[in-house]
Amino acid sequence: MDMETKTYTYVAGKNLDVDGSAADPVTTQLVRNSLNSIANQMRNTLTRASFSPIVYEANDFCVALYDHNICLLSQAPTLPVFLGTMNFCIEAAVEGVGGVEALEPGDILLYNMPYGTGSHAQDAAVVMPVFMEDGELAGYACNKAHWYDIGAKNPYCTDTEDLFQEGVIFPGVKIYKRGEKNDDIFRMVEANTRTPDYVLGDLHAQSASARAGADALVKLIHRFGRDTFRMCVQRMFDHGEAMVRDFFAKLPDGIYTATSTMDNDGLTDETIDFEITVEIEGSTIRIDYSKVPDAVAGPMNCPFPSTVSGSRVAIGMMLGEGGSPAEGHFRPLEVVTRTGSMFHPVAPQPCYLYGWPLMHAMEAIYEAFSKAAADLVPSGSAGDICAVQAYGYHSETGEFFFNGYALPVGHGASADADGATLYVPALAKSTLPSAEIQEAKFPFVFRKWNLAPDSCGPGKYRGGLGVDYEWQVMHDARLISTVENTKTPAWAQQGGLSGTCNGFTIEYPDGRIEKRNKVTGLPVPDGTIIKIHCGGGGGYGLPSERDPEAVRRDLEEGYISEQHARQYYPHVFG
Amino acid sequence: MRIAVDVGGTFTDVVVLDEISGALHFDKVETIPSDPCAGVINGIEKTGFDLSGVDIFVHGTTLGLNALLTRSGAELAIITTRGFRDVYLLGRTDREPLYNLKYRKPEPLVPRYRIFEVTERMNYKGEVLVEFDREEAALLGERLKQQGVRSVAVCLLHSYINPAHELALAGTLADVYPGLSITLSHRLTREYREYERTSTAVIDAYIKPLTRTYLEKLDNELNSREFEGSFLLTRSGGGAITVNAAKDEPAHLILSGPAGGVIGATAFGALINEPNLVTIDMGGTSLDASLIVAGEPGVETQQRFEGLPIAIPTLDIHTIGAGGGSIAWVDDGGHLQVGPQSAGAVPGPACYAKGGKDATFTDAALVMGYLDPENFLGGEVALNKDLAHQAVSETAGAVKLSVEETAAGIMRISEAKIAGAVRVISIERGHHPKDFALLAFGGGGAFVATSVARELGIPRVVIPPAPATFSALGMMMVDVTHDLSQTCVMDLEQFEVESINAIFAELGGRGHAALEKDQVDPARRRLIPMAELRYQGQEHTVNLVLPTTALGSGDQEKIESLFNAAHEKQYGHAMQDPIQIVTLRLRAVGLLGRPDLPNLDEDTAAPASNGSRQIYRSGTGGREPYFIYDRDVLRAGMQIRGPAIIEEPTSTTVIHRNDNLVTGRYGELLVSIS
Repeated sequence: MDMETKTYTYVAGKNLDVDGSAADPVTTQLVRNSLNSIANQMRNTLTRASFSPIVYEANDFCVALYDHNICLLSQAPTLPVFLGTMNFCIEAAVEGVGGVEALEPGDILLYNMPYGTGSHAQDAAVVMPVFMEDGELAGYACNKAHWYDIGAKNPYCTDTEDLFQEGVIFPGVKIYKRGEKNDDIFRMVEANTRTPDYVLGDLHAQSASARAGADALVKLIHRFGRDTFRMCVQRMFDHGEAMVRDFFAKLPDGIYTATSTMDNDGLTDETIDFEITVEIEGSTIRIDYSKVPDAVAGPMNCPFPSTVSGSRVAIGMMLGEGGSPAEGHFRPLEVVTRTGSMFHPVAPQPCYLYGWPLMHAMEAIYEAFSKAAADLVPSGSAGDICAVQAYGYHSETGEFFFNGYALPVGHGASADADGATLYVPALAKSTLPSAEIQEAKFPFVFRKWNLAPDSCGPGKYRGGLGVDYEWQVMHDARLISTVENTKTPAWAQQGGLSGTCNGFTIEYPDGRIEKRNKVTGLPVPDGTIIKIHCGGGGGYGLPSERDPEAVRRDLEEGYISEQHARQYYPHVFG
Repeated sequence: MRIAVDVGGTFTDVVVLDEISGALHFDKVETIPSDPCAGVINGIEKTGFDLSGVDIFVHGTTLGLNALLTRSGAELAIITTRGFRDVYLLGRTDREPLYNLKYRKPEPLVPRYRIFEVTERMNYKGEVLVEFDREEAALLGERLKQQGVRSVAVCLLHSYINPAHELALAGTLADVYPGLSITLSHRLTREYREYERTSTAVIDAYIKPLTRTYLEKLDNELNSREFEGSFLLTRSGGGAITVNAAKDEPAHLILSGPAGGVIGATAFGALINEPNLVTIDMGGTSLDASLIVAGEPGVETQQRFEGLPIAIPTLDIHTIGAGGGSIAWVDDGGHLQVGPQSAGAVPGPACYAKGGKDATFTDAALVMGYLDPENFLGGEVALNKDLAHQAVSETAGAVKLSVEETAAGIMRISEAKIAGAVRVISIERGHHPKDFALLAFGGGGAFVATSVARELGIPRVVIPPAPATFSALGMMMVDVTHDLSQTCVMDLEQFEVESINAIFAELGGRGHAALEKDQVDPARRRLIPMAELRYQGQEHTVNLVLPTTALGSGDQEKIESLFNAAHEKQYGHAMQDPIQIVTLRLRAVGLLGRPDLPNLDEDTAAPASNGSRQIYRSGTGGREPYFIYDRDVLRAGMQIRGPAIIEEPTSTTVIHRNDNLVTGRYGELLVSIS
């Protein structure tokens, strides 16, 4: 594809034209707490009314509140990588319906064009402009949620070649106009999904959530008064920016590089390397994706908003202050991309698996930062959610079944502790579903749900353990697997070693055994066993420096075998 | 006669009610953390009443919760289905808080080397897929015996629908290891979700040995004093359980301590006709907030304590670190913060002059002028104003505000945090504070109540009589309660009325058996059937109370419309989608009868004031006079217009400009917020 590429630098955070330092610090705290509480209220409204486990169990959604300049006021702890994309979603949705002038009180917008949302088409953004009684635009209440199915060529895809195979597109449409429901759009949604009950239920929940946020924001601004509110918001932004700048100013200036290797592009099985750099200059951080390859032929491309979001989340998690960021936290960050590259694809380049290059990028960002200071970040995780899904039409009921979910992996050790078993940072708020509920709902039987001994990367501090899951399909089904990082293990630092790679094995009833990574729509018969190995985290420091007592404890707990201990920690055996 | 004893962190409160005269007697002794039983007996002895005349002794204990908080429970083992050893350690794997790359899960209560698998497997219909291996189980029992493990939690897959293998395993273990304390997950909850059921069983097994020891000791102490009445404990899910039931299933005691206040608030709300209440119970280190809607306290079935889930119905009490001892500090960005760290009872706030140097909420209140240094805790503790001023001025230097403005800021931030806790359980769950009254108790509740109500738009505040000991008073209001449940996923369209009635009959049988064991007369038993429903595909459910008579096939439509109405109310919309029954529940209650509370004499004359104090007004630099009243002089019907301060030995009520206070018939203070 011929296109003109150019480098693009993005910096967040417009300033309000008010002086934040004039705001009273105590009132600012009150405003900030109230804004966070509104976001929680929006989250609860969405999860309670939602119809799909991917929303209420896996937390594959986000909610946020923005001001009239599309600066982030507050967000509830939900899917991290969605959270940094919502300003782009608002901009694109508003532009889609004809700009700010076309917005009216009571409007609710639906938008899912990947290059504007940062996601695949399945992630639908709902945006509600918030107006004061006198018609002044006060901000936006919005959310983005993963829909069960959006009528792509398969319920989930690893092999798309352009946008049009990836599902139906809503390029910014009003689903409510002046509070009136636009039934035509709802009928289109219904007609373009394999699971209309789930999707319509979730769209209602998303609308209710945005409305709850919009009402609460108007009340809050009334309570404090517009001028005080704005001054406090400005002070809140300044405070967040100062905290982030303080953190980075302490790090040595320099340019730090890391590379990452993807298994493939989803179409062929050739590995793809890319390089990114992190530049620390005073208190400013510049993450440069401009040297990555051109967009790949398959769906392993990450649209620009998620490239920015992944960078934001990587930094937010590093700060480790626990609280949710607002716009000010993003101001010290600059993101550089090249249009037409795999981290800035353009229409109609495929991007169904956008989340996978993004998970790679976040690992690479941390690896680059590890070169700036030894105790800044833990070593790498196995870097994936190891998701295998199965679907089909049930032979008795005729019902469509579709199930699969994200799994936790081993995380890296840090300068003072062994690694944990958790979800990757990009999906940090996911939750592991219940085996009993899955079995009651879907034709599966689980066989194994255990930590994987010896999967952890050795080191002075060892990586977190991976996990072995096994389940059997009790019905003919088709499989979709997005398992990534089957060829490259977690990175490690200071002499620590890598953990095991992820793996996906199919055992057919006739005894055939296949090792795979990505598949879409692979038919398997009743009785097939699916084995998923979630890899281990990277170690930190030389294994020979590990405390013998810690090795003995790992042996007692069954985290490592004696063979593993003798191989990597011979000093313990004298 | 009834006696209630509430053991708090600092004080043990005792309330005695003589049902014949209607007189209430309050007492307070120091809690003895190393031997809480001795503290309870001291308290009873201080009242001077003879235990032989007591019919009901009600007790609330935080023993179980403290063991969880300090990780000081029993060494125990878990036995689970082969292949599922790490269900407990993996948990749900979510992060709280989210933004922390170095996040670690809460420390589990059981190490991995004490988690064992046994060969067996059921499916979700309760059909056996793999037979239970008795020989393997016997070997496991031997192993536990050799290792000296005293307590074991058993959770096998799908035991909620068919407990046969859990029961068989318990039998085998008891045979080879008599005396082993065994907790079976299906006894505590008959609901699916293996991690939550395991965690519930683990918590129960973890606190069982120490709870048993404590309750047996206390029971013996009571009996040796010729006590022949019922010994009851307040229960996490509301109501009370007998001491014998508590020894069997101590998981029900996790919130025994704070439950008293909520039970009391529910009963007191009914007396004064306030069915919708927000309650705040503020002590020295923490504050408990809860919600009572239409006369029913909120109950959650998926609570977490210290990050560990407990899947039995538990009062929805939200606890935050905000109390009189909460410490003020300044964060990296220069912002003022308060708590959750607390100066506790030792060293206590700076003004206690016991060596505390940090500025606390109480120090700020003293600097503002709200507290009388000579008349705090009935004069038992003299407050040192200079030390309070000194502590607050150090914080003031760091935030670059005046000492008084800093004190005002500490109070405002504390009140905002409390309002935030109330917001979590009300607004964030779809309830509007304007539909509620705020009932405040505990040593500090009355002090902050009017400010918190104003911040949230709550129109009325209620301060009950003797708010500092209200939790103990609340324990007088209990009924014996058991909650039973059974997961039963069924489309409402396929309403199989016989099988539903059969499950309720089975639950009813278990309820009657439990109440029979508690020696509750059949005439005083009530069985309340409930169902949890949802739209097909949804996970969150709505709980409906069903008619107490057996269901007929015609009840299907009635349930449908009840559900739609309840969903509309709770979530703001109803849908056309098919409805599903998820869980059937039965609450079995043994009524103990509500005691009458004494009435206050009426007198509508203006109450006499004890003069006034100058209170600092934030933002003005000036001070404003607040009139001071003794709560003792108030009679039913008396009114006070704010600003004013009402003092009693263990509590202080503050009302601000234009707030209006009326004294109610039981001596409660009813404040309309301006």
